[in-house]
Amino acid sequence: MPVNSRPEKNQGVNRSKYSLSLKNNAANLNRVVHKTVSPITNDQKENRPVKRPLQSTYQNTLNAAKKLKPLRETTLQAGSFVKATLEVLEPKTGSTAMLNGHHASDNQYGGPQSKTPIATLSNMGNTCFLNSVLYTLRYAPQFVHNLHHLVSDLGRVEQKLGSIRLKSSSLGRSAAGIASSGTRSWSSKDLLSLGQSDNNSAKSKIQVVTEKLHETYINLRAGESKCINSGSNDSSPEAFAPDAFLSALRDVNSTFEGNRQQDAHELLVCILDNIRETCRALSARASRLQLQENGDSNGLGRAQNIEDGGKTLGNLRKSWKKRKDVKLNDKRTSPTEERAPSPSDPERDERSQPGWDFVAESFEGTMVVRTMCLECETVTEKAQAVCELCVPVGEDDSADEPFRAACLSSEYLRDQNKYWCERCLRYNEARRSVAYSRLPRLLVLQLKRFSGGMEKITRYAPTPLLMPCFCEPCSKRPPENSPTHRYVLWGVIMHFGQTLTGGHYVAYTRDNSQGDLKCDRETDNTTTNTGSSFMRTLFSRPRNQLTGCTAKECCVPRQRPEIGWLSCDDDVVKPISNEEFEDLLSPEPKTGSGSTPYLLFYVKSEVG
Amino acid sequence: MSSMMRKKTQVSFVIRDEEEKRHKNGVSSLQLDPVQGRLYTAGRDGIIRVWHAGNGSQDRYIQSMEHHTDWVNDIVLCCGGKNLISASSDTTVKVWNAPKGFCMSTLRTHKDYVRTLAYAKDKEQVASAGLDRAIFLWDVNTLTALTASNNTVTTSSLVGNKESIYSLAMNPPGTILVSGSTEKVLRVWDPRNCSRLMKLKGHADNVKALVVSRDGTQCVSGSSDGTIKLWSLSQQRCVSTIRVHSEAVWALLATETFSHIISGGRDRLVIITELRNPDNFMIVCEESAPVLKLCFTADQQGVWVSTSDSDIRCWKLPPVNTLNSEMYNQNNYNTNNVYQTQPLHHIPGGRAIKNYTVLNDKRHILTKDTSNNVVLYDVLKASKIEDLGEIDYEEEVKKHFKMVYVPNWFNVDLKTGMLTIHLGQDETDCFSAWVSAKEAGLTTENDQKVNFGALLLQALLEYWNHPNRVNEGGQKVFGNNFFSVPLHTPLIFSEVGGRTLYRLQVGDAGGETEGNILLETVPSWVVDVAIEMAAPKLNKLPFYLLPHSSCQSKQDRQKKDRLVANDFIQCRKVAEHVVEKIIGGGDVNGSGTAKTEENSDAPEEKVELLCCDQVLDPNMDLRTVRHFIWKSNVEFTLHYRIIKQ
Repeated sequence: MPVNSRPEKNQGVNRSKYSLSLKNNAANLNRVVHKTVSPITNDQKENRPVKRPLQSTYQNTLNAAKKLKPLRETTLQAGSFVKATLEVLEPKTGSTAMLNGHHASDNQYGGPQSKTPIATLSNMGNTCFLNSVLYTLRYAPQFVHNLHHLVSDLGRVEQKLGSIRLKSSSLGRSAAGIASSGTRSWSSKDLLSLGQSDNNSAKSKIQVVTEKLHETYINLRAGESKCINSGSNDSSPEAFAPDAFLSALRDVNSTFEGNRQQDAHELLVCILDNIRETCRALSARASRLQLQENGDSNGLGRAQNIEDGGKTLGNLRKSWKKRKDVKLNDKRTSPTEERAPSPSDPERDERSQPGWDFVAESFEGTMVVRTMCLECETVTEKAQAVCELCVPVGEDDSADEPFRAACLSSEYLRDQNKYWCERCLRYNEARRSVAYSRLPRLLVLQLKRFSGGMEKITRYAPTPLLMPCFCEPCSKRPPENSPTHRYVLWGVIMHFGQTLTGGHYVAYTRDNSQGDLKCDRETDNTTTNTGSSFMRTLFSRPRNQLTGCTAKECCVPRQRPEIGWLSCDDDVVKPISNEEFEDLLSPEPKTGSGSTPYLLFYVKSEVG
Repeated sequence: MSSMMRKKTQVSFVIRDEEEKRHKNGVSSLQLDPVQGRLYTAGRDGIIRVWHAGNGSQDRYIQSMEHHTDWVNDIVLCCGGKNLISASSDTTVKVWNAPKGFCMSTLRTHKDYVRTLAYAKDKEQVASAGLDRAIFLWDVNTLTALTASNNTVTTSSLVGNKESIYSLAMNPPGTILVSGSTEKVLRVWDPRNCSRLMKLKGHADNVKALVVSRDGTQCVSGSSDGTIKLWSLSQQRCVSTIRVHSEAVWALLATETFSHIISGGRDRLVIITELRNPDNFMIVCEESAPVLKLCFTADQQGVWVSTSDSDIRCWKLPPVNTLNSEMYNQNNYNTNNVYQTQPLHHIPGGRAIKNYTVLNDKRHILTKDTSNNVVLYDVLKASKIEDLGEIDYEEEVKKHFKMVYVPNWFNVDLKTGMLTIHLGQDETDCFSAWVSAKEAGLTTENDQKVNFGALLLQALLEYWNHPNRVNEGGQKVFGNNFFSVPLHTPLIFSEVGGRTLYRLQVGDAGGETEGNILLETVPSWVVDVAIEMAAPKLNKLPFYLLPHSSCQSKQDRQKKDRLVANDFIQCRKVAEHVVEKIIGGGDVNGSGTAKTEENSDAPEEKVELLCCDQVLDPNMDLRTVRHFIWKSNVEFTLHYRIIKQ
């Protein structure tokens, strides 16, 4: 299939822009250098972990920490040296400065014509599938914010592990000198190797992808900041090329190699899976860390503790693994009930845990498959987590609730496909139905336009701006009761063209979604630490020195005064009116361009 | 695979007693012959049984009507009790001589389970329907006149059904036929001209029970949605919805005048309700299992109830004028408020097998039934070995564990509540199990190997007078020379996962008619082994043989020796090979001394075999070693070590 003319044109433009943007990024060179240097030191450190002078270990640890943190967060560290560097890097990015600048410009020029700079992504050759997803996630309610905390927690845990290694290495040496007990020195060695092995696995490709994704959003944000700070409001940020992220992604998943057009849905799934994996890795590492810290904190019984630790470490490591699995299972069945109740709000407690799987919270619903034998009418039930719901583009679209029927399906198992009934001990007819006991905060619907062969189904499918919830608790409510929540459309990825491997993607998102964000970590500051968990102390320590959540100044897109839809087409991002947007979704759009909604993004919204 | 190819034929048999006097599974349908005082019951064990329905009989059992090979789902008694028509999940409809209990003919027009029958008494017309969505109308007088030569029958079919049919009803004059299906609608036909009359919507789930009034103006339906609906067929609408059951309604029975309806279902209750005033109802009884069918006693003062358990009970009905009495008429009924707690009559059922374990020898099966009774069966001889009573099943299974591995050669089926064994089904190779006849307890000769599947097929077809059944000496040979199976054993030929082709008892295969049908039915893979006495092919097992690391042998011996042997070869044989071919070659130190005593010593005293560093019992066979010790299907490797004296 010939590629649509649109992306081709874009390619041409982008090629020049690409090189340009590289040059322009020279301002960020300092940052880039920092990052490329530290991984090397990190590698060296990993290769020679034990016998090193104290000084170098310390340096390396610092470097590692620097590398793993988004730069802005370096302020959180104790090292004043680092802080100084940072302030040189981005001199006027304090929250007040940013807001002032923004408002000033608004006042000066006024009116809707005034341009709030919006960062854009350049097309690097058939990468509109990538850009459309990156744009969508950028404006996904709370997504970038959660990503930010994940990446910064990752940095903290790694820093902490580094310092433990530091401590234990000194302990190991002193133990060899002072203590005569062989057991003791052995256990300290074990601790040492623990920290070390942990660091070996630290730089997994998966983690790099998550970090690069976060960096992409930092860069987009920085581009916008630069525009504002430059004072000239007409200038729009240079298109950013997310090539670092793309190449990290290709390292993890080879399907994204080459310059072909890809399925945006597949990319979305891949990114979310990747983040989920990162969360798991972090969570595992954090609990390991907690264990060590618990052993350490007990000053008097230290020797005893370490010995115990040494004896049981093997088992513990196994049990971590087990626990991880169990947790995983729990997540799938009852995502909110899995943790032991804590004195404070358990939900929030969970959210502030490092490695909290926000992908599960935001994107995962619980699908319940029920099978009823038509003879004995016994129902067997199976629940499983689902991320995106696939909606066939059917012939009969009931106008009011087009997705309900498609998602809550029911089929008969009969003819040659009968069901083995455990009760009747034979093959009988059965009815199998699919329902959702829980739907996620961010509901992603994939319209199955490419099912069965390569030919795209271009049939119109209505895209409601508001959608009643069809989860089981909602469905079971008597119709006279008003619903407790519903779903509001906040993003659409449109597909132009006839095939998955060709064509063009454009994302449409609503950009007011970050406004009402309330960060759990932020509010945590006001309440006194209950000291219930070590994690709290570890992670609230830096927080106390800061006011507010760091995500807002790092990577989260800045809030624009206008609330409305953005059309994000590679390096052209522009606001469009609600009318224009609704026209795009209508059966016969006036601005008809042969585009069809492919991925729909809804956010849960409480009613009343 | 060509779809035009005939499906593979499997051979099945049932391990059971000669006479099974009790239902061994649920009872799907009931019919009463008020003149003879007989009750006909259709069992999910595939057997229709006939009972004395009257008072006072100690032993009610009269006879069994056996020919179906799967659940009997429905029966109707017609021609004033002379004939019985039955519908089964074996996809057939059968016509029976009711008093004598034999099967007169089999109708094979349905392509899936036949689920339900309807009877128009005045016209002697029967309709059958099932999961193939088809409804066939039969003239009973034509059906009973069928003979082997006059074996064609014309049938009308009522078309238009879109989904599986679970219920049918006709009025006695045969002017109205109603069907209920997973479509959730009632479809109404005029059977006289096969025209579609109407479609009635209203139920929210499958419709499993229907009755039509004599004049064909009213209809009552019972649905899996838990409701009973009264429909006016003349007005084409639902007149009232009766909500007396808490779960699915599976059985309905209307009084002669259509004034009251008796219903039963998944909630195990039998309830009588006044149709025109549904507030007047009463729980007749609470059964022990979901109710499948209801039928009146001869005096209509009581009701026979069958359930998904094997017991059949008769309960006294309350006088209809007591329904509106204060005592029972309570809107929030509870099961304490039941009219009868003791049945008038009780026909006790037998026990259905619910669990089975094939033991390691792939010959014996342990089963557990509905009353936790444990029984040991011998598949090879198609017979029960021991009734072990109510013992711990899991313990017993563990107790029977033997470290021996034999490949699977049959499949087990419990759908009828009895042990049905399938040979030649799907992936299971019927001839994969070669064993030592001595170890199987069949002979005292050591070296004879026998094949379980072949032995069993030979025994099952022992009486078949096949023209080719002669040995070299010109004498007829029968059976397998070791054992016979019980003569009453039902032998079934059917398409794999499909329809039954032929059923007979092992002892009847000698008859001329039976022999001719067998000639057409028995697949060649069975004839080759059971009649032509061809030996099934042996299973070859490749393995590597290496000297053990503790054995100081030369480097060139380290190359892997790939060998192939029959999978039942004992380790002793491999040791023999080592002694003769490897050590005997003279490569080994001190072979000179060994050679002098070579003939007197057993090979296992010179060489021991190891697998995964475990010394092997010389009596263990190779497949057992691979299964229990090597535990993998690839690169099966054995080591040998010379025993120092």
